[in-house]
Amino acid sequence: MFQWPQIKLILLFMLPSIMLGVLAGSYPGYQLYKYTWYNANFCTSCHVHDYATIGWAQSPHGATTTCHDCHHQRLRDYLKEMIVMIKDRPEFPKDLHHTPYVKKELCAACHVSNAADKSTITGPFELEDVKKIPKVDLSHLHSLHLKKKTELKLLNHHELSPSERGIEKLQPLHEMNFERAESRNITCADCHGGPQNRGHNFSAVDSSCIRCHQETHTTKVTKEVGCRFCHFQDFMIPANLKKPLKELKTEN
Amino acid sequence: MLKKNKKWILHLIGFILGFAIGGFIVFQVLFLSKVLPHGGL
Repeated sequence: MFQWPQIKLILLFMLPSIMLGVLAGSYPGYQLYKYTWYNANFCTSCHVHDYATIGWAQSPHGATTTCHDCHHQRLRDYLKEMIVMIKDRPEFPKDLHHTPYVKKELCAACHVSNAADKSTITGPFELEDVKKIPKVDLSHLHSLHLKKKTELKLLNHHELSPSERGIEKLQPLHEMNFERAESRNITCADCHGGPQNRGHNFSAVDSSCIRCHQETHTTKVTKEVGCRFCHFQDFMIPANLKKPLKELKTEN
Repeated sequence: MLKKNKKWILHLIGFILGFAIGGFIVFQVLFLSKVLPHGGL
Protein backbone atom coordinates (compact mmCIF):
# COMPACT_ATOMS: atom_id res chain seq x y z
CA MET A 1 0.00 0.00 0.00
CA PHE A 2 1.05 3.64 -0.38
CA GLN A 3 3.07 5.30 2.35
CA TRP A 4 2.46 8.87 3.36
CA PRO A 5 5.47 10.30 1.48
CA GLN A 6 4.21 8.59 -1.67
CA ILE A 7 0.70 9.97 -1.15
CA LYS A 8 2.15 13.46 -0.69
CA LEU A 9 4.06 13.10 -3.93
CA ILE A 10 0.96 11.98 -5.81
CA LEU A 11 -1.07 14.87 -4.43
CA LEU A 12 1.66 17.31 -5.34
CA PHE A 13 1.71 15.89 -8.83
CA MET A 14 -2.09 16.27 -9.05
CA LEU A 15 -2.09 19.80 -7.61
CA PRO A 16 -2.03 21.71 -10.92
CA SER A 17 -4.96 19.70 -12.28
CA ILE A 18 -6.83 20.09 -8.97
CA MET A 19 -6.33 23.88 -9.13
CA LEU A 20 -7.50 23.90 -12.73
CA GLY A 21 -10.54 21.86 -11.73
CA VAL A 22 -11.32 24.29 -8.89
CA LEU A 23 -11.25 27.19 -11.35
CA ALA A 24 -13.38 25.34 -13.86
CA GLY A 25 -15.88 24.25 -11.21
CA SER A 26 -16.38 27.74 -9.81
CA TYR A 27 -18.58 28.86 -12.69
CA PRO A 28 -21.04 25.93 -12.50
CA GLY A 29 -21.13 26.43 -8.72
CA TYR A 30 -22.09 30.06 -9.25
CA GLN A 31 -24.73 29.12 -11.82
CA LEU A 32 -26.18 26.53 -9.45
CA TYR A 33 -26.46 29.21 -6.75
CA LYS A 34 -28.15 31.55 -9.23
CA TYR A 35 -30.66 28.86 -10.14
CA THR A 36 -31.51 27.90 -6.56
CA TRP A 37 -31.81 31.49 -5.37
CA TYR A 38 -33.18 33.49 -8.29
CA ASN A 39 -35.18 30.99 -10.35
CA ALA A 40 -38.70 30.24 -9.15
CA ASN A 41 -38.63 26.88 -10.96
CA PHE A 42 -36.27 25.57 -8.31
CA CYS A 43 -38.87 26.17 -5.58
CA THR A 44 -41.95 25.23 -7.56
CA SER A 45 -40.44 21.92 -8.63
CA CYS A 46 -41.47 20.77 -5.18
CA HIS A 47 -43.62 23.30 -3.32
CA VAL A 48 -47.31 22.82 -4.00
CA HIS A 49 -49.01 25.76 -5.61
CA ASP A 50 -52.22 26.14 -7.48
CA TYR A 51 -51.65 29.17 -9.63
CA ALA A 52 -49.59 31.06 -7.07
CA THR A 53 -46.50 30.92 -9.26
CA ILE A 54 -48.37 32.33 -12.25
CA GLY A 55 -49.84 35.03 -10.01
CA TRP A 56 -46.37 35.97 -8.82
CA ALA A 57 -44.78 35.95 -12.27
CA GLN A 58 -47.48 38.21 -13.68
CA SER A 59 -47.40 40.62 -10.76
CA PRO A 60 -44.99 43.55 -10.25
CA HIS A 61 -43.27 41.39 -7.65
CA GLY A 62 -42.43 38.78 -10.26
CA ALA A 63 -39.93 41.04 -11.99
CA THR A 64 -38.44 42.48 -8.82
CA THR A 65 -38.25 39.71 -6.25
CA THR A 66 -37.33 36.09 -5.75
CA CYS A 67 -39.25 33.49 -3.73
CA HIS A 68 -36.59 33.77 -1.04
CA ASP A 69 -37.16 37.50 -0.54
CA CYS A 70 -40.43 36.77 1.22
CA HIS A 71 -40.36 33.09 2.09
CA HIS A 72 -37.56 32.67 4.58
CA GLN A 73 -36.59 29.31 5.98
CA ARG A 74 -33.81 27.85 8.08
CA LEU A 75 -30.83 26.01 6.65
CA ARG A 76 -32.00 22.73 8.18
CA ASP A 77 -35.29 23.04 6.29
CA TYR A 78 -33.43 22.92 2.97
CA LEU A 79 -31.82 19.67 4.06
CA LYS A 80 -35.21 18.23 5.07
CA GLU A 81 -36.66 19.28 1.75
CA MET A 82 -33.98 17.40 -0.14
CA ILE A 83 -35.12 14.21 1.57
CA VAL A 84 -38.81 14.95 1.06
CA MET A 85 -38.21 15.69 -2.61
CA ILE A 86 -36.80 12.21 -3.09
CA LYS A 87 -39.00 10.21 -0.76
CA ASP A 88 -42.41 11.88 -0.83
CA ARG A 89 -42.81 14.72 -3.33
CA PRO A 90 -45.93 16.77 -2.43
CA GLU A 91 -48.87 17.03 -4.79
CA PHE A 92 -51.57 19.63 -5.18
CA PRO A 93 -54.19 19.85 -3.78
CA LYS A 94 -53.97 17.11 -1.17
CA ASP A 95 -50.69 18.37 0.27
CA LEU A 96 -51.60 22.06 0.39
CA HIS A 97 -52.19 22.54 4.12
CA HIS A 98 -51.61 26.20 4.88
CA THR A 99 -50.95 29.60 3.45
CA PRO A 100 -47.46 30.90 4.17
CA TYR A 101 -47.54 33.85 6.52
CA VAL A 102 -45.27 36.62 5.36
CA LYS A 103 -44.27 38.95 8.17
CA LYS A 104 -44.99 42.67 7.95
CA GLU A 105 -41.27 43.46 8.16
CA LEU A 106 -40.74 41.85 4.76
CA CYS A 107 -43.33 44.10 3.09
CA ALA A 108 -41.96 47.05 5.05
CA ALA A 109 -38.49 46.60 3.58
CA CYS A 110 -39.76 48.06 0.28
CA HIS A 111 -43.09 49.67 1.05
CA VAL A 112 -42.46 51.62 4.24
CA SER A 113 -40.15 54.60 4.60
CA ASN A 114 -37.08 54.13 6.80
CA ALA A 115 -37.60 50.40 7.07
CA ALA A 116 -35.54 48.90 9.86
CA ASP A 117 -34.27 45.99 7.85
CA LYS A 118 -33.62 45.87 4.11
CA SER A 119 -31.46 42.77 4.25
CA THR A 120 -34.41 40.66 3.13
CA ILE A 121 -34.21 42.15 -0.37
CA THR A 122 -32.09 39.88 -2.54
CA GLY A 123 -33.94 39.90 -5.86
CA PRO A 124 -33.16 41.66 -9.10
CA PHE A 125 -34.49 44.90 -7.66
CA GLU A 126 -31.60 47.18 -6.70
CA LEU A 127 -31.63 48.78 -3.25
CA GLU A 128 -31.29 52.21 -4.87
CA ASP A 129 -34.52 51.61 -6.80
CA VAL A 130 -36.34 50.60 -3.61
CA LYS A 131 -36.23 54.26 -2.58
CA LYS A 132 -38.42 55.11 -5.58
CA ILE A 133 -41.28 52.82 -4.49
CA PRO A 134 -44.17 54.84 -2.99
CA LYS A 135 -44.17 54.40 0.79
CA VAL A 136 -47.53 53.43 2.27
CA ASP A 137 -46.90 54.91 5.70
CA LEU A 138 -46.96 58.30 4.00
CA SER A 139 -50.45 57.79 2.57
CA HIS A 140 -53.59 58.74 4.48
CA LEU A 141 -55.58 55.60 5.16
CA HIS A 142 -52.57 53.30 5.11
CA SER A 143 -50.91 55.18 7.94
CA LEU A 144 -54.22 55.30 9.82
CA HIS A 145 -54.69 51.54 9.59
CA LEU A 146 -51.09 50.67 10.39
CA LYS A 147 -51.35 52.54 13.68
CA LYS A 148 -54.46 50.63 14.77
CA LYS A 149 -54.86 47.34 16.56
CA THR A 150 -57.28 44.51 15.90
CA GLU A 151 -58.51 41.49 17.79
CA LEU A 152 -59.36 39.53 14.68
CA LYS A 153 -57.29 36.42 14.29
CA LEU A 154 -55.05 36.38 11.24
CA LEU A 155 -56.46 33.35 9.46
CA ASN A 156 -54.84 30.68 7.41
CA HIS A 157 -56.26 29.82 4.00
CA HIS A 158 -58.08 26.72 5.20
CA GLU A 159 -59.77 28.70 7.99
CA LEU A 160 -61.74 30.78 5.52
CA SER A 161 -65.13 29.72 4.26
CA PRO A 162 -65.13 28.69 0.58
CA SER A 163 -67.21 31.71 -0.38
CA GLU A 164 -64.93 34.06 1.59
CA ARG A 165 -61.95 33.05 -0.54
CA GLY A 166 -63.70 34.49 -3.58
CA ILE A 167 -62.76 38.04 -4.41
CA GLU A 168 -65.44 38.92 -6.91
CA LYS A 169 -68.11 40.29 -4.58
CA LEU A 170 -68.63 41.07 -0.92
CA GLN A 171 -69.45 37.93 1.02
CA PRO A 172 -72.48 37.40 3.23
CA LEU A 173 -71.55 38.29 6.81
CA HIS A 174 -72.87 35.05 8.25
CA GLU A 175 -70.38 33.08 6.13
CA MET A 176 -67.27 34.97 7.21
CA ASN A 177 -64.89 33.93 9.98
CA PHE A 178 -64.63 36.58 12.73
CA GLU A 179 -62.65 34.52 15.18
CA ARG A 180 -61.09 36.65 17.93
CA ALA A 181 -57.57 36.40 19.33
CA GLU A 182 -55.09 38.47 21.27
CA SER A 183 -54.95 42.14 20.32
CA ARG A 184 -52.28 42.79 17.71
CA ASN A 185 -51.20 45.49 15.29
CA ILE A 186 -52.88 45.49 11.91
CA THR A 187 -50.47 43.98 9.45
CA CYS A 188 -50.13 44.08 5.66
CA ALA A 189 -51.51 40.56 5.31
CA ASP A 190 -54.81 41.67 6.87
CA CYS A 191 -55.68 43.34 3.58
CA HIS A 192 -52.98 42.43 1.04
CA GLY A 193 -52.03 38.97 -0.07
CA GLY A 194 -53.43 37.33 3.04
CA PRO A 195 -55.71 34.32 3.13
CA GLN A 196 -58.48 36.33 1.47
CA ASN A 197 -56.36 36.44 -1.63
CA ARG A 198 -55.19 33.60 -3.76
CA GLY A 199 -51.44 33.23 -3.65
CA HIS A 200 -49.45 36.30 -4.68
CA ASN A 201 -52.50 38.37 -5.55
CA PHE A 202 -51.68 41.35 -3.38
CA SER A 203 -54.64 43.52 -4.31
CA ALA A 204 -56.67 44.58 -1.29
CA VAL A 205 -60.08 42.92 -1.37
CA ASP A 206 -63.39 44.16 0.03
CA SER A 207 -63.82 41.12 2.25
CA SER A 208 -60.76 42.35 4.18
CA CYS A 209 -62.57 45.64 4.89
CA ILE A 210 -65.74 43.83 5.95
CA ARG A 211 -63.92 41.76 8.56
CA CYS A 212 -63.47 44.92 10.66
CA HIS A 213 -66.02 47.34 9.25
CA GLN A 214 -69.04 45.08 9.38
CA GLU A 215 -71.50 47.73 10.54
CA THR A 216 -70.42 50.44 8.11
CA HIS A 217 -72.50 51.36 5.05
CA THR A 218 -74.83 48.41 5.15
CA THR A 219 -76.70 49.77 2.14
CA LYS A 220 -77.59 48.16 -1.12
CA VAL A 221 -75.19 50.45 -2.97
CA THR A 222 -72.23 49.32 -0.89
CA LYS A 223 -73.12 45.70 -1.45
CA GLU A 224 -73.26 46.31 -5.18
CA VAL A 225 -70.07 48.34 -5.71
CA GLY A 226 -67.94 47.44 -2.70
CA CYS A 227 -65.70 49.46 -0.42
CA ARG A 228 -62.83 50.32 -2.71
CA PHE A 229 -65.10 52.03 -5.23
CA CYS A 230 -65.26 55.06 -2.91
CA HIS A 231 -62.34 54.62 -0.55
CA PHE A 232 -59.54 53.57 -2.91
CA GLN A 233 -58.18 57.08 -3.37
CA ASP A 234 -58.03 57.63 0.39
CA PHE A 235 -55.32 55.00 0.51
CA MET A 236 -53.27 56.84 -2.07
CA ILE A 237 -53.45 60.50 -1.03
CA PRO A 238 -50.55 61.75 1.08
CA ALA A 239 -51.10 61.66 4.83
CA ASN A 240 -49.65 65.13 5.25
CA LEU A 241 -51.91 66.79 2.70
CA LYS A 242 -52.07 70.39 3.80
CA LYS A 243 -55.60 71.06 2.64
CA PRO A 244 -58.51 68.70 3.26
CA LEU A 245 -59.67 66.94 0.12
CA LYS A 246 -63.04 68.71 0.27
CA GLU A 247 -61.33 72.09 -0.10
CA LEU A 248 -59.23 70.92 -3.03
CA LYS A 249 -62.32 69.60 -4.82
CA THR A 250 -64.12 72.94 -4.26
CA GLU A 251 -61.19 74.93 -5.66
CA ASN A 252 -61.04 72.85 -8.81
CA MET B 1 3.97 2.57 -20.58
CA LEU B 2 1.97 1.81 -17.48
CA LYS B 3 3.43 4.78 -15.61
CA LYS B 4 2.48 7.18 -18.42
CA ASN B 5 -1.10 5.90 -18.34
CA LYS B 6 -1.22 6.32 -14.58
CA LYS B 7 -0.09 9.93 -14.84
CA TRP B 8 -2.85 10.79 -17.24
CA ILE B 9 -5.46 9.22 -14.98
CA LEU B 10 -4.10 11.08 -11.98
CA HIS B 11 -4.47 14.39 -13.80
CA LEU B 12 -8.03 13.52 -14.73
CA ILE B 13 -8.91 12.49 -11.20
CA GLY B 14 -7.31 15.66 -9.91
CA PHE B 15 -9.31 17.79 -12.33
CA ILE B 16 -12.60 16.12 -11.43
CA LEU B 17 -11.84 16.40 -7.73
CA GLY B 18 -10.95 20.07 -8.09
CA PHE B 19 -14.04 20.68 -10.21
CA ALA B 20 -16.29 19.21 -7.52
CA ILE B 21 -14.52 21.01 -4.68
CA GLY B 22 -14.52 24.34 -6.51
CA GLY B 23 -18.16 24.13 -7.47
CA PHE B 24 -19.19 23.00 -4.00
CA ILE B 25 -17.27 25.71 -2.18
CA VAL B 26 -18.48 28.51 -4.44
CA PHE B 27 -22.08 27.31 -4.21
CA GLN B 28 -21.96 26.89 -0.43
CA VAL B 29 -20.34 30.26 0.23
CA LEU B 30 -22.85 32.13 -1.92
CA PHE B 31 -25.88 30.11 -0.78
CA LEU B 32 -25.08 30.26 2.92
CA SER B 33 -24.40 33.98 2.71
CA LYS B 34 -28.07 34.36 1.76
CA VAL B 35 -29.73 31.63 3.82
CA LEU B 36 -28.08 32.24 7.18
CA PRO B 37 -29.03 35.92 7.52
CA HIS B 38 -32.58 35.10 6.36
CA GLY B 39 -33.48 32.02 8.35
CA GLY B 40 -30.49 31.01 10.43
CA LEU B 41 -29.52 27.43 11.12
